[in-house]
Amino acid sequence: MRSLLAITRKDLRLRLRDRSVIITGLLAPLVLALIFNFVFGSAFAGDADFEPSYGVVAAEDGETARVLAGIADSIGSEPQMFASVEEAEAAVDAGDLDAVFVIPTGFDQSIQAGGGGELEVIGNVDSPTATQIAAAIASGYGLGLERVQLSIAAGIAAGGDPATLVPAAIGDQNRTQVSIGKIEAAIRQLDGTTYAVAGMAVFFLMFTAQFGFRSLLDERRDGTLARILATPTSPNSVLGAKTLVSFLLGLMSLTVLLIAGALLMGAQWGDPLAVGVLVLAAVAAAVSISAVVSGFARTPEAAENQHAVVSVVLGMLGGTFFPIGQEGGVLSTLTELTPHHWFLRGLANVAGGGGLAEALPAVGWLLVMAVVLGSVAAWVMSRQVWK
Amino acid sequence: MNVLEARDLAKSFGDLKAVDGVSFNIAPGETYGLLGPNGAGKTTSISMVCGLLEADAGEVRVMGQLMSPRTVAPKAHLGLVPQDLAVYPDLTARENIEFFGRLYGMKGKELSSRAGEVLEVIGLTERGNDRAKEFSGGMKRRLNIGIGLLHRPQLLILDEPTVGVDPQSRNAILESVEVLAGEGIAVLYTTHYMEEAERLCDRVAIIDEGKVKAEGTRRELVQLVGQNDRVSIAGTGPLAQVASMLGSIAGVTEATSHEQRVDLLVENASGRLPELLASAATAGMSISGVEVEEPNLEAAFLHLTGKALRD
Repeated sequence: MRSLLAITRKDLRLRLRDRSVIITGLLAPLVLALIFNFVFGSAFAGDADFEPSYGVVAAEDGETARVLAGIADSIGSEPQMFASVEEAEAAVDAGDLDAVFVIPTGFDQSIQAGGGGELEVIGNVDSPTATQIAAAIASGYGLGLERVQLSIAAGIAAGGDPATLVPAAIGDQNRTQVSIGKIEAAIRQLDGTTYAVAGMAVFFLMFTAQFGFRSLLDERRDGTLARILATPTSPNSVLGAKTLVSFLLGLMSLTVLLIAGALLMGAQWGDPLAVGVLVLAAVAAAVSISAVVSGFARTPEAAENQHAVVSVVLGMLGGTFFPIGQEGGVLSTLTELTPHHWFLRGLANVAGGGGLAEALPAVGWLLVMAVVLGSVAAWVMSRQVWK
Repeated sequence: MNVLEARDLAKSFGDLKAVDGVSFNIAPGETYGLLGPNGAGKTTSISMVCGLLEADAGEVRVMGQLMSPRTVAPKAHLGLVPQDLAVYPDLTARENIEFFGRLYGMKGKELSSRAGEVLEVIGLTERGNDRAKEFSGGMKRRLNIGIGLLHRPQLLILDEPTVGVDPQSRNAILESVEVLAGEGIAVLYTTHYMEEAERLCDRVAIIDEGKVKAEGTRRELVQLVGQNDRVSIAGTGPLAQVASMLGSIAGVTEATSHEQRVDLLVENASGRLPELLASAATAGMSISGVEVEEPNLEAAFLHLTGKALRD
């Protein structure tokens, strides 16, 4: 323990003295977060002032128009109603609306008769997130209608009265839609500023967390590692110190950035305890990843290059630059393999008013990554000590 | 008890046998030299002695304790001065020394006081708070040595400490080693500089191609190749008769006269010098000076390995 602390102290002194950790761990992410917030802030969903404006095109005053207008009203400004598609398109093109729902003539009658129909969403190209939300609402409404039809069909088959079955089923559908819209659109999102700060903080965490392990390779090259190992210091103490240095530098970087983001840019994090636990778990995962990458590198320069590649790829996949996960498909799966994704998701849950319980799933995944990759790292890094 | 016992050490890297059956012991206060050309196996031997490298065969004991990469306790008795500089450029001289001191369990006033003493010994007291990267090559070398001295090791291992050092710093380093040896520290000193081995070492092992070719005091090694001391008596007089007469004295194996001097090859010249000078004077020689040159390791090395030391 004595040697571990001595090496840790020495490494921290060297890192702070050469200013690399200040630049990489603090200044660069703060500056980039400011830039990202300035350039892209409004593009991120869930801004505190995010209030999508929708319209509904309906030739007749039917049930579907009433439901969609109600949902749009609950998550944004009061929806505009249009009688023709042309009018609605003009409003969207002019930027007056983010998106409109187009209900074809005879849609409700077709549904009630057990037939099909197609809801259309026309979005403003400059409002991708609001358009995505509108598309999701329309899609969800469609799925709900299928359930309604199945419910009515089952009721009639069981001898029920269609006159009472139809209103009851549609009423259930309405309640479901409104509830989903509120949770997804209003709660589980970071505002643009908070997202930019969090994204940059976790992106640069990967760079900061490599410092401890990179110094092991430096020491091996410079001969000081051999000199340390010729003293009564066990290899485990050396590895422990390097891990502790990486962890402390990562923790310092992430903590300072979150605090600075709140103080300087108005980022809103939520429950401090939950955020603190998320930070610790994210740093642990980042340290494990850094250790694995360093463990397979032959030289300090190779380690740095590999770290850069891994950090950028994971950062992109994890949604630190833009929320890639919502695009769906393979990317959605890949993004869930990154600590960035879970950190941001955990923060989103907490920032929306959640507490430690809401952060725990993300914390759990981050700790799983830390433990699994940490086990691999322990093996490869011990080989580095004796190379 | 010997401070260091290395027995039948062997280490291969692939097909290359870097060390092949090397054995040696070092007693307290003794300076022991490993003399050999680059690539002879000196540093590999030292790495096994320090527990930095696992031996394929053989064993190392320091103060009776078995040494290996997995052991920690015997390393407390060692002070290593590696061949390449192993200091932190961005730490000051004092910080460098104190960092390694902490690894040896030193702390507080004891550490601070001892660091001051070491800075004094290596002549860096005035520069103790300057970063090592601001030092000259010689000053870095001295710091490199100072770190090895800090905890007063029972065995100080110096691996070619004067490579690339200017003559002034080199002399300072050699003087430091002599002082340490005088204080009772056992020293293992590797070098490929003959004059360093001759100046510092009580015993020397000539190592080449991973094997110890011969071991002993300088005299013992030289005697292995049958060389005697060379005595040159300068002066005037009947030099041919003087040479003839001196050549008949027991222990003188060769005597030749030259212009204003007589050269002799003598066994153990220091013991016979008074008799030789008295005999030369009796034979009518007016003596103006005497030089005694003991046979050197260079010749022994050449004889034992078939190559010059710096090959």
